[in-house]
Order: sequence, then C-alpha cells, then structure tokens
Amino acid sequence: MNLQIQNLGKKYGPDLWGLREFSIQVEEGILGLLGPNGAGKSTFMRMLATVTPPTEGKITWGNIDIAENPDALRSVLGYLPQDFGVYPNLNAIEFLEYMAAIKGLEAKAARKRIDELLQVVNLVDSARRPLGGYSSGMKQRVGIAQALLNDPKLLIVDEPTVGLDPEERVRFRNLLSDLSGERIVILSTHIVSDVEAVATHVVLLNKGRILYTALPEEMLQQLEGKVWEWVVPSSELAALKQKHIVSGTIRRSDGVQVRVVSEDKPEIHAQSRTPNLEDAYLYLIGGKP
Amino acid sequence: MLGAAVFLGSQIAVNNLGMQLDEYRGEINSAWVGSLMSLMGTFFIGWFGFYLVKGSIAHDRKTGVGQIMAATPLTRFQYLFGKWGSHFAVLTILNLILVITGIGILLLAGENTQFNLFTMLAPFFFITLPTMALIAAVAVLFESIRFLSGGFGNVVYFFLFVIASDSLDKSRLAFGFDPTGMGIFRRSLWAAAEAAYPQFNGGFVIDIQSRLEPVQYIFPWSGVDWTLALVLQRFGLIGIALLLMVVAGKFFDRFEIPDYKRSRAWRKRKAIPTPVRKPDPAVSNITPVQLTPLQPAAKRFIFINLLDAELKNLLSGPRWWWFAVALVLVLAGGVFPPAFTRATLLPLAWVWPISVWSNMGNREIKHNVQQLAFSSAFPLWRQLPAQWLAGFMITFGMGFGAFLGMSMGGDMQGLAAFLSAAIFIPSLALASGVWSASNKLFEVLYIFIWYFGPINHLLGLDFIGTQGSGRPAFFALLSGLLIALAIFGRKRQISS
Repeated sequence: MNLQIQNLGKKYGPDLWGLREFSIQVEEGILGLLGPNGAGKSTFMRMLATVTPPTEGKITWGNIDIAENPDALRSVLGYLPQDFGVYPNLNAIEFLEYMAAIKGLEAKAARKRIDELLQVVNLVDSARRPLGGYSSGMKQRVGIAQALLNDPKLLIVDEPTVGLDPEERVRFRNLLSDLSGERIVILSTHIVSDVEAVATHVVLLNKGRILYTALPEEMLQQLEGKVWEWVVPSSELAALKQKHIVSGTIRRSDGVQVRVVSEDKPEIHAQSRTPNLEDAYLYLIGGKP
Repeated sequence: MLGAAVFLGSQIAVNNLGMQLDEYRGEINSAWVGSLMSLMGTFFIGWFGFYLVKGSIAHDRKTGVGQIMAATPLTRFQYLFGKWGSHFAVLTILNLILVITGIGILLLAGENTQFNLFTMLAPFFFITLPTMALIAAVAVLFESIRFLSGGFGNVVYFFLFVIASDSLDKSRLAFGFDPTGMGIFRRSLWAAAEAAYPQFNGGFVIDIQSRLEPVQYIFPWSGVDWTLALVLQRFGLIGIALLLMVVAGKFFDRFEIPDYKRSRAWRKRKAIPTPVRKPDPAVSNITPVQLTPLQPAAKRFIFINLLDAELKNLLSGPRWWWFAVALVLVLAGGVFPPAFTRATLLPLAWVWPISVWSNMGNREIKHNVQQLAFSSAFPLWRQLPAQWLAGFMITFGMGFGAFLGMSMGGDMQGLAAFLSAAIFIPSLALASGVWSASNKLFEVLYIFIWYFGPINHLLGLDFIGTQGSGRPAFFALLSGLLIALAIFGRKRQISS
C-alpha cells in the first residue's frame, strides 16, 4: 500500500496558504515531519486524516482518491491529533470500547485489543478511573491507544510525545519502531530527537512548503565537517549567536561550551564534531536560535 | 441573539405582538410605545438574554485564560465586576434595538406623532436598565456557584424568571417584589383605563396578535408618574446587583481549581488509592509489549455495538439518585390512571433527562473529540443514527410506563402523540446540539416548549398531548425536519 500526495495545498484566507505545492510519495516506514511552528505540519496531517479538505491537489491511498472516497482511508487509519479531548465521565476501557465501536471492530476482538493496548501504553492500573481525572500525559497515552485500536495501515501521529515523561517517550518511540514494519507511520514533532530515533525518512517543512526531503543519514552527511565545539567567555555568547547558528550551549566553570554549525572553522580552538539531526535541522532551516 | 432582538422588534412593529388590557389599549404615543418596548425587552431579552451572557466565566476556565488572569493582580471582585459590566452592556445593546424600533413604530402608527423624548426613554432607563443590571449579576452569580453553573442553573433561571414576572398577569406582585417592573406599568395603565372608562375591570396581557381580543376602547395615557421614590426603588435593583456580585465573589474560586479538577471524575480519582508497585529490576518498564495483529474478521461493523456504546456514553454523566428518580417516574407511569399519567407524570418523566438529551450532537465538539470521531469510517451514517436512536431509547424508556398504560387501554390517540413526542425530543436535542455545539440551546428551547406546551397548553406546543389528542402529525413532521437539519449540520462539520 502506498500513499501519494500530489500538489497538495490548503488556503485559509485570500492570501494565506497553510500548505502549498506539497508532493511526496510515502512507502512503508516512518516518515518524520519536521518544521518550525506554523510550517504546515498539522495542516498536512489533518488533510491526510480526512478531517480537513484540501484546497487543491490530490491524496491517493493505493488507487483511491481520498477526496472522493474518504471512508476507504478512514477504515485503515489511526489518527492522533495534536489537540484532542476525551469524554471525562468514561474510563479508559469505556472510551476505547466506544472508539472501537465507531471504528467498526467486533466487540470480542476489541476487548482483547484494548487489554493489549492498555499494557502497551502502561495504563492498566488506571484503566477503570474516569478520564476526567487523568493527567495530560495519561490522556495522551489514551490517545495513542485509540489510534492503534484498528491495527491501522496508516498511522498519523501529530506531536505524540507531548506531555509524556521521558520513560513513556522512550516506550512510545520503541512502539513506533516495532509498528513500522508493514505500515506507513507519519510522525510530526518539534522534538528532533524523536525523529532522529525512529524516522526512516524525513521531510522538512517551512512556511507551508517542503524545504527538504531525504533519509536521515543523507541529512547528516550534508553536515559532515560543519559542526564545531569550543569554549567561549559568557560575555561573547550574544555576539556569537548573531554571527553563527548555535545549536547548543553548556555552561562550564571556564565559560560556555558552544556547539556551532558553520561551513568553515569558526575559531582557532574549535573542534570538529559528529553532526546530529538537530544540527542538520537548524542548518537547513537557516535559523539562529 | 442580535437577530432575535431585531426579529422581536419587527414583530412588534408589524403588530404581530402586542400589549393590551383585554379589549382596551392606550393611545399609541411616546409613553405607550416606550413602555411597550421596555416591557417586551424586559420580558423576552431578560428571560433569554441570561442564556446568551451566561457562560463567559466557563469559557475563560475552559480556554485556560482564567488561569492566566488569576496570575495577575486582578482581584476576584474586579474580574466579576468586569464580567457583570460586559453582560450588562450586551443586554443593554439588545434593548436599544427595541427602543430604536419603537421610534419607528410611533412615527408609522400616526395616532399621536408628538414625540416626547423623556416619556419615550424613561421606561428604558428606569425599568429596563435596572432589570438588565440585575440579570447580568444573576448570570455572574450562577456561574460562580458550581451547582448552578451548568444545565441545572439554566432550568432554575427559567422558573425563577417565571416567578419573578408573575406580576404580568396576576393581580398581585410576585412575593411583593417586582424586579421586571411589569407591575408598575400595569398599575399605571389600569388607573388611566379606569379614569377613561369606569366599567374597566382589569386585565393585562402581552401576546401574539391573533390571540388578543379585538380592541374596543382606546384611552389616553401619558406614562408612568416617575416619582423620586419610584426611581430610587428601581435603581435599588442596581444595588441588589452589586450585592449579588459580592455574594458571587464569595463563591467564585478565582480559577484556583483547574477545569479538569472540578469534575466529579477528578474527585472520584482521589478516592481510589494509587497502587504502589515495587520496581522489579529484572523487568524494565520500557520493555515493549507486542501487539497481536488484528485479524480481518475482527474489523466488522455491527450497529448494535455502536448503539450500546452511545447509550453508555449518554448515560455516563448522571449519578445513582438520578437513575433512582427515573425508575420511580417510569414505574409510576404504569401504576397511576392513564389520564393522570398523561397529564402529569409523562411531562415530569420527559423533563427529567434534559441534561442527558442536551449532550446529544454537541458532545464531540464540546469535549474536543471531533477529530477522533470524524476521522473514523462513515461518521455521518453510523454515529449520528446511533446517537439519535440512543436518545430515542432513553425517551421511550422514560415514558414506558405511560406507553404500557395507553397500550392496554387502547388509547390510539394517546399512543400517536406519545410516539411523535418520543421522536420529537431526541430530534430536537440532536439538531440543537449539532448546530449550537453546546447544551444550552436545547436546554432553553426544550424547557420553553415544555413549559408552554405540556404544562400550560399554550401556543400549540403541547407535543405530549396532555389534554386532548395533541398534534402528532405536526411534531412527527417537525422531527423529520430537525433530523434533516442535524444531518446537514453534521455533514458540514465533518467536511469543514
């Protein structure tokens, strides 16, 4: 099964495009979407999830145009929106049973699946508490569980690790890796390390357009020999940030250790370092944090 | 609401809605028109404007803006006073539309074109504004008291207003207190009518024109005599409004408790001890659990499963005592004589689940679940019918005792009215919920229809047919229209 997106666009006002000229072909694996706020990531996800109709362009699932037949995609879709709620009076089991009924799962199979999912998202102990009493991280985990209820062929997760503690974040990343074998997973996040850990392909978005699309290792290759670290006095940090892309700082007793992305060696004491995806992201976006 | 105020003004202007003292009325002059508009505004905008303005504190709480404001030097009273001011301004603007319409009526009627600004505007300043100030404060007070801040408060206000405006058609003032000022007009008008026609023997009604008696006598009336005592008495309402704000301040939590912690679910959570687990070093919490692939046969939509889930969801809010009362009402319907059941018990049984029905059609948006629900397959033709049917089953269930009694008594007319009502209620709830994305519209509309229809047998709104055969064909047809509206509205939501 593959997903083809051709010239997709979403217009919000006379001159305001949330997304434009977005074309990509997606195969099995995890596609990581990266981009600053307002880049168009959630707009893209909502159109893909059939929640928002596109203004122009076409999304094809297999041979099916989802604008003409959205239900063909909805029946194999798992979607975790960036911002969602739950029914506060239901407990996790009741809510997941309700979502399973909506998704057209047979009751017995749904119950078994819900039991497994509650273990996966580590909510077994809290499963019978009303959702209104859940913390935001727990609600997020319920959201993850509902997205996986129907064993989706296309899994769309928008900022899935928001509100999760570090342990749950790692657990979720492992889960995504396990799931990605025979399905398409589209992961949108601000947390570059999440994409770095699991994505098989990366799309970089900025101002509603695709800036860059590649394998993560291709992105990193571009940065070879362009990442540097050295120590500067605290007083020079502000000036340095004006001049270079600073991707990290660590305060030390003798000053501040800076990590800089630069085409040339920026300073005599600077040491070359192995690039990571965050360096690549900042370099390609061209931002100075 | 702005549209409703314009509509109200236009209905008065074209004489579809009027004020009379049985077959008497005053000459259409500045005093009459100013008082008419004031009365109409006080009555209609006072009654329903409350529902328009109530909800702004809940909005601040839901959006989290409240917590941001709570972290500023803004005091409890300043915040509530600001809310009161904005409510008062909104209600005043709506009433001003009626005042402007009134000027047009005076000029068009031509009975007395002499325009007296003070006489025209005095009822607005002395009657309408103090009443609106009080209603704005009541809205703030209700929102500050937890148990009055939701649907229950909406129903309470409805009846509170009915009691407060009792002076409209009764010879006494409600509890000697006349917050709507209607008794002031009535007394003055009666005195003028008696002076012109000694045979005049009372009567005062605001209604649609077709239900009013033909006017036989027109008497001159120069308006209420605005004595200082009377004006001070009216402005005393503003003092009461401010007092209510102080009371509201005592109840208002200043967003100390986040929205989710106010829920019963959160309080219940505290009662459940969190299990203490000793970490097992041999088993890491991060060990992934393998998911069993779902067999294709498991993906089989069964409508009854969804209906069951919808029923559980709709009935997940009420507490045990709600179900106990519901059971008593259902059983009583089967025990008491059919005539009593139909006239008294059935209306009660069909108002009790108002807070259950009012969740229909809006629950997805209210709880921000719409993206999850609408991205599932066939959201329009699976979820909406299941939701309607769940609402119908609750309605039918609540009236089951009455249904049995009518069936056994062979009351075919009663059964026809029963069925049309059982279809009408969930249809109204679903359409109101879908289009308003809130509980409020249904709660207000339904209680209005219920009060004037089954309880007072007015305006052809008796959808239960408590006295006589009712109007089953009309309400069945109306239900069809409401269902079509709900489908259209939901389709828009899904594809927007």
